[in-house]
This record gives sequence, structure tokens and C-alpha cells, in this order.
Amino acid sequence: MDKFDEELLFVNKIISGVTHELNNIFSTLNEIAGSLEDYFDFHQENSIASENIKKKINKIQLQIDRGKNLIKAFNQFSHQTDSTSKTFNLSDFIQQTILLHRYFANQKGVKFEIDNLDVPAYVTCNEFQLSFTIHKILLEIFKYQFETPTIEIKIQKEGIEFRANVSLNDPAELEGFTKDLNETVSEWKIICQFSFTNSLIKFHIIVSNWS
Amino acid sequence: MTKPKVLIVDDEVDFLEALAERLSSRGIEVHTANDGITAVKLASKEKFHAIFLDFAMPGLNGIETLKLILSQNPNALIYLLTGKASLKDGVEAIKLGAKDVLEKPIELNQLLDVIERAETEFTIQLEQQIKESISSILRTKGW
Repeated sequence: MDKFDEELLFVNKIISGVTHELNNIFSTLNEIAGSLEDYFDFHQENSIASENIKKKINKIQLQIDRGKNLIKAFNQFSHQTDSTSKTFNLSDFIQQTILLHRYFANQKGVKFEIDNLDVPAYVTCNEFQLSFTIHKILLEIFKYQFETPTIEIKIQKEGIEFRANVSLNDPAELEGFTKDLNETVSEWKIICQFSFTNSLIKFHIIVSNWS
Repeated sequence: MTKPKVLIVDDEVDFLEALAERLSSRGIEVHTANDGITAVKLASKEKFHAIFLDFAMPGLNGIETLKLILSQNPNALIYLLTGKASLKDGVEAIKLGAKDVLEKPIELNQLLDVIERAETEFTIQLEQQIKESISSILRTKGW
């Protein structure tokens, strides 16, 4: 790790700590504003004064939302150097990421079928960025309703690249899934592609195995 | 029908009070604790449909509290509530037996959905335990 990376890591740690504290403040304000709103909703207060107070609460909530967005941006930034170009097993990593998506998967009744993930696939890249990419892709998929939802995941090695293929087994429900998301984060050489055929959706996470 | 009963654990007292008030006004029986040790004591005395633990707390943190509660009651439905968890923390919590890791601040409706699902799961667990007890009694009677 060079001097610049060390400094960046230090700055990120500070930002992460400050962000955590800010998040606590905004979470508390969010609940207090919600309590005030509940008061008016449950007590059916209709006077002009209470309407004015409700407007003010809405304004407070708008500011809280701004704060929350700011925190998200800070969090994203502060986690960037969590694992700068670290070498890890992609198979384990995908399994762990999927484990974290159980909440969304349960909501949608989605099952994961994971094939050949027992074979170690060592890659070097930014762990946070990769996790964020997979997270975004899975969230896109979860937006749709499927009759018999199963998501199949396979990892293959192609040359110096590992390719994670994900396919869905219910094409009938995919009408309107026309979002074409191509994202290239050249700094970490992670390319995320959505490609569509008549019968299935595939995405490829190509992690360049370079150091 | 009994009220859903939840335990929320957070060292931010004002956050805890406001959230408890909002959930109570929606018919949920809310118990609160400001630290992990109190939470473990409460969880050993009473059964909750769901337990929500803050990740970062002074003294016992969320993960340590999770481990202690699950060692007493492996069926406890525990959710980690956090504004800071990294992927590693989240995975560790789920591997240890947490039901989920929820981002803080959480939308109230999302939290209510989680409580509703936990209540259903709790009831299923209870029915299963009753069935097993009855089967065991019947087996000892030779039926």
C-alpha cells in the first residue's frame, strides 16, 4: 500500500466514523418526526395550527431525507478502500452476497440454484465495488414478479477472466424488462453487462484478474 | 389474538423511545433495552416474536448480544439493525443465526412487514414444538 492509499484509508476511516454518528442523529430525528406525524394522524387534528405544524414536519422530513442521501454517499465513499484490489475467492464471495439477499429473495419467493461454486475462483479486484455491482443486479431482478422463480448462478473461467453467469428460468414474465444497463468501472476493471435473449436473461460480471 | 411482542435494543435512547412509541401506537407490544446485557436478561425471561439489535453498542455489541441470546434460545428471531455494517459484519451475523440485517434508518412500513413475518414464523415454530411434544408423549404411551 503506498502513502496515498494509506492516507485515503485514514480519511475513509474518519468519514466512516463521522457518518455513523450522523446516521444515528438522522435516524433519531426521523423517528421523532414520524412520532409527531402519527400524533396528528391518530388524533385527527384539523385546525389551521395543526395543518401548519404538519407542513413544518414535512419540511423536517425533507431535510432528513437530504441528510440520509448524504450519509449514503459518505458510506459509499468510506467503504471504497475497505478492500482495495484484494485477492479473494469469487465463489465464496458470491455465496456470501447471496446470503445477504435472503431478505429480498424471501419476499419474492425466489430460489437460488448455485452450480459449481465449490471450485475456488481467485480474483483480484475491489471487493466493495464487486459486491455493490452484484447487489444492484440482484435488486434489478427482484423488481420483477416471476411464476416459478429460480436464479441459476455459475462461475466459469475464461482466459484470464472469471465470468459469473446468472440466468432466470421464467421468460414469460419478463416482458418490459428492457433496461439495458452497461456499466464499466474502469478503475477496478469490473464490467457489468445485462444481455437479453428471448429465453433468458444473463449477466456477466467480468473481473479482470490483474494486479 | 395476542399482540406481536418485540424487543428493540439500541444505545440511542431518543431513537429507541420514538420508535417504541410509533410501534406501540400500531398495536405492537414493545420492550426496550439500552444495552446488550439488559437485552440478554430480558430475552431469557420472556419470549419475543422478534428481537431487533443495534450493531454498534458500547459494552456488548450486536454480534455478541446475538450470540448470547441464541445460546439461550436457538429459535429466537433476531434482526440486526444498523447504519454502518460492512458486508463482512452482515455475513457474520447471518451465519451466526440472525434472520436479517436491516439498514437504519428503516422505513416504518418495512419494519412492520418484518414484524408481521416474524410473528408468522414464531407461530409456525410454536405449532411445530407443540406437535413434537404431543408426538413424544404419544410415543411414550406406546401409541
